[in-house]
Amino acid sequence: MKIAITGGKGGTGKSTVATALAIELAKENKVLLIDADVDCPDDDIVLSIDTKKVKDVENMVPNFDKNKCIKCGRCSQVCKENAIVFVKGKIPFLVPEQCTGCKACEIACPVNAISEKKQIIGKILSGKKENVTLVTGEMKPGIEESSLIVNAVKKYIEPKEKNYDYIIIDTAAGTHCPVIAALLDVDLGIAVTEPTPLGNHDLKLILELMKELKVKSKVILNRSDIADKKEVEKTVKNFGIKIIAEIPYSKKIQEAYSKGIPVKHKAIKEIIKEIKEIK
Amino acid sequence: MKIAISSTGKGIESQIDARFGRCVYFVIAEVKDKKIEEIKSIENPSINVGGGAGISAAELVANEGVKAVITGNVGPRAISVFSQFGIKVYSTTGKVKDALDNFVEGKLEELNSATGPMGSGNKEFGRRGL
Amino acid sequence: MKTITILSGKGGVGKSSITASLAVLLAEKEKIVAVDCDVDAPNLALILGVEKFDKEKVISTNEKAFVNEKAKDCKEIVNMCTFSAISWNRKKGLPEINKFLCEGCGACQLLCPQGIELKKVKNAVIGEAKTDYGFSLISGQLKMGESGSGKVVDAIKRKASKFDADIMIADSSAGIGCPVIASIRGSDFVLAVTEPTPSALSDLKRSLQVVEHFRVPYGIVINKYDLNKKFSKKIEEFAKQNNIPFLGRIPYDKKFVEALVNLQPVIKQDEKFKPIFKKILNKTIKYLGVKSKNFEC
Repeated sequence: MKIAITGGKGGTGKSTVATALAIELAKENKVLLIDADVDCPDDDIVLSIDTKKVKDVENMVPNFDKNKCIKCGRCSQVCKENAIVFVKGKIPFLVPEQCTGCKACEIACPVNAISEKKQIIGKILSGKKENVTLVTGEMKPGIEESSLIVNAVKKYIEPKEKNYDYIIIDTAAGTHCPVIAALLDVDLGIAVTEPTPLGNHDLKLILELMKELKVKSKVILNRSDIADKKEVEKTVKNFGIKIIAEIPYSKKIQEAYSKGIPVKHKAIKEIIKEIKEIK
Repeated sequence: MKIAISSTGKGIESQIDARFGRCVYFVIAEVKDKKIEEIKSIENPSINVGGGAGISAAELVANEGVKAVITGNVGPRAISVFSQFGIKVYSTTGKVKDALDNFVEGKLEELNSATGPMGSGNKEFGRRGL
Repeated sequence: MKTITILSGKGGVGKSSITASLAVLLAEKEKIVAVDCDVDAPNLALILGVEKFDKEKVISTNEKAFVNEKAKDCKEIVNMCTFSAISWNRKKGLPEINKFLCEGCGACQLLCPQGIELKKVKNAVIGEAKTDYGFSLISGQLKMGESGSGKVVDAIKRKASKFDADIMIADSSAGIGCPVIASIRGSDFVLAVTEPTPSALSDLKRSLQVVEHFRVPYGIVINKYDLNKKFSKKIEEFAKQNNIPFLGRIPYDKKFVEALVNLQPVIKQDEKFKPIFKKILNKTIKYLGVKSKNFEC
C-alpha cells in the first residue's frame, strides 16, 4: 500500500507524521519511507539517519557537434525554456541550469548535429533505522525542475516496491509539479494541517488537487488545540472525508523534533488503525 | 568597438537601468579611438518574456556584436552567455552618457564574479550540522 | 524599484507572517507594493485582511500538448517524453497525454506535427487589491494541477514592477524549485527566515546556496528563537563565520497564532512586536542600499 503524506501548507508536520508513522508501522511490517520533498529533504535529519548516496540523478542535455552544425538557430527557436543561446554565425550555446532535458532541440535539428550529454541534477540517498528503509531524493540547488527528481526516485523504487507492505511518501509543501508527481498513483493521500486560517486555506487546495488526481484523501489535524478547529472541520465535511487523528500542540513533540527523535503519540496508532481498514 | 548599455530611455541622457534582462532599452554605442561615433537604441523585447529574460537579452546584445555591456545587475545565466562570447561586463549607475565617458577613459571597473563577502556566487554551505 | 524577497526553504517557519508585518511597517515610511510569490498556496492576502481582490485576471504562461486522430502513427512519441507524460491508449489506438505531467516542451509535437497540437492553457489567476494598510498587494494562484509556477511568479513580479512604488516586498514559497528561483531572480536583497531546528537550518543552507548562485545579497532572521536558544546561538555563529548579516531574532509567542486567526499582521495584534520588526527592517534597508528614514526602535 502506497500512502502519501502531504498538506499544502509548509511546516504543518508532514515529516513528523511521516517518520512517526513509518517507525510505528515498521514494528510489524516492512516499511519503505520515501522523502519526496526533493527541494528540502529532512526525514533523514528527523530520524537521525546517516544516508548514503545510491545513485546520481541525471538528465540529458544537448551537446552540439561543431563540425555538423550549420548554425541555423532552429534549436534555439524550439526551446521553450530559453536555454539555448544562438548568435548569428556562431555555434549555439547551452545554459545548462535552464535545460529540462526535453530533447526538442535534438528532434528539431535538421542535420543531426545534436547528441545527448549527461548532466547531474540531483541524487538519491538511502539509509536504514529500526526496520525503516529511507530513500531520499535530493535536488541539486539551482536546478528548477524538482519533479524530475521525484520521478527518478519513483523509478528507482519501482522494482523494490513488492518487497514492502507499506510505502510512505513524504511530499513537498504546495500543490505544484513535485507534489503532483509524488501524488500520482498512491492509494491514499493524508493531508496534515493545522487549525489556522492559513492551514485551512491550503488544506482546501491540496484536497482539491487530490480530488482532481482521483486520490483518496484523509486529514490529520496537527496542533489541533492552537486555534478553533471549526473551519477545518467544515472543509473536511465539504469534501465528504474525515479527520482521522488529532495531535494537540506539545512542547515535547517540538523538542523531540529539534533533537532528531521520532515522535511517539497515541494519534499515530489511530492513524494506523484507519490505514489498515482502508487496506 | 560596440558597447551596449541597459537604459531607461532611448538616448544617452537617460539613466542606466539597473536591471539587465528587464531593462526598457539598450543604447548601443560605437566607440572608436576613445570617441563615441554612433548611437542607436533598441527596445528590449525580453522585458515581457516569462523566464530567462537575462538569457534572451544577452543573446540580443551578442547578436548586435557588442564587445562590452554596461549595466547595474546581471544574473549568472546572462553572465555565462557573456563569457561564452567574450563580452565584458561593467556595473555602474547614473547617466548613460557619463557611463560611456567613464568607459572610454577606462574608469569603469569590470564586474568580477568573486567580489563581496556574500551573494557573490561562490559560497558552499554543505547541508548538515554547523 | 528595489525588491526584498522573504525566503526560508522549509515551510511554516513564518515567512508570510513576517512579510506582512515588515510590509505594514515599511509602508509607514515608503511607497511599497507587496507580492505573494507562493502561487501554490498564497497566504499573504489572508494575513493582510484582503477578502476580495479588486481586480482579477486569468493568465496563460504555459502550453500543453493535445492529441488528435492523426497521431495514430506516432507510437514513437511514447518513450521519448522526458516527463513520462505520454502513454499508449490501446483501445483508441492513439497516444494519450497525462495533462498533469505535460510540461508543454513541444518535443512530441516536433516528432508528430500532424497529430499533436500545442495549445495555451489558462494556468493561473492574478489578483490585485488595495490593503487596509495603504499599499497594494499582487497575488497569484496556480490553477489546480497546472504547471508553470515559476513563470506565473515572473508574471506577478512583472505586474508589481509597474506599480508606483519604491520598494517591492515579496513573499516566496517553500523549497528551492522553480517558483523560488523565480522569486529570487532579480531581487536586490533576500531576507532568509529560519527557526532553531536542524531541519530548518539544513533547508536554509540549501536555499542560501541558490541565492548565492544568483548573486543576491542576503541576511538571516531567526523566528521562534527561544524554542531552542542554544541552537539559535549556533545559527548566529554560523552566520558570523560565513560573513552573513544577522538581521534579528523573533520570539515564540501565542500572539502570532492569535494574529493569524484574527487575519492581521502580528504588529497590529500587539504593539510590543513593533521594535523587533523595526530593528530587522533598519538592518535590511541598510543592505538594500536605499536612502530611507530610520525606523526608531
